[in-house]
Amino acid sequence: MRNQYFVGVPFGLLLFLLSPLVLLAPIAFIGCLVARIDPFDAARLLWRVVVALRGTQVEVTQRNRSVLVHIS
Amino acid sequence: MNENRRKILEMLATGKITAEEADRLLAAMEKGPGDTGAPSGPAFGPNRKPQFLRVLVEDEGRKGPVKVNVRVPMQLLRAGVRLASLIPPEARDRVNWQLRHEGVPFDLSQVTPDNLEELVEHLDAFTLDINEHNTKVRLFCE
Repeated sequence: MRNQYFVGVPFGLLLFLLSPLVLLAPIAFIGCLVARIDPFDAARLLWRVVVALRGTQVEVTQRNRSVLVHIS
Repeated sequence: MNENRRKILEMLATGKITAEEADRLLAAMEKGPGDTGAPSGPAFGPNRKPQFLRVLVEDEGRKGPVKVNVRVPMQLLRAGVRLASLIPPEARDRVNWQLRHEGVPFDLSQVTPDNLEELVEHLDAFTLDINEHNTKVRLFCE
């Protein structure tokens, strides 16, 4: 008997899980200014990275157990 | 979620198909009705750009064989490389120097969105196989 688990992570849930990171935004903002990086540019690029996570899939199989995580 | 995707996920949940089969069906569905390319290796039409970077790892561990199958959208690679544009010039120079020092003559400032597109387009023929002891790693684009 093979145990298979499928975990579909909707993009909205991913955003919800990542939302506590917003608390670090002021620190990141200051860090960007210190490093002479445009904080808005950095935020835009990070947002692109998060959006691009859609379609990511990770599957781990060991013996008869298999877990598949899919960000949809 | 469309009907086909729901059916595939239901079949997976009820154990009618394996996770690999579901993955193959979902990939075939995303590629469209004309495409039947299997995810076991790079397969492209003449004008098809790679959509995903695939990493397959098989390890004969002490507790039994372990397989890891990761599919990363190319869009994520593009976004990640664009982050390199945020690196301050001083830090970029240090990275370039370190790369040269390690025998990799690569200039990070040369990575532009145009170059990146060109690179991604040429990844269709890219396959990397590593076999070492009990571990196999396969990397390709699909």
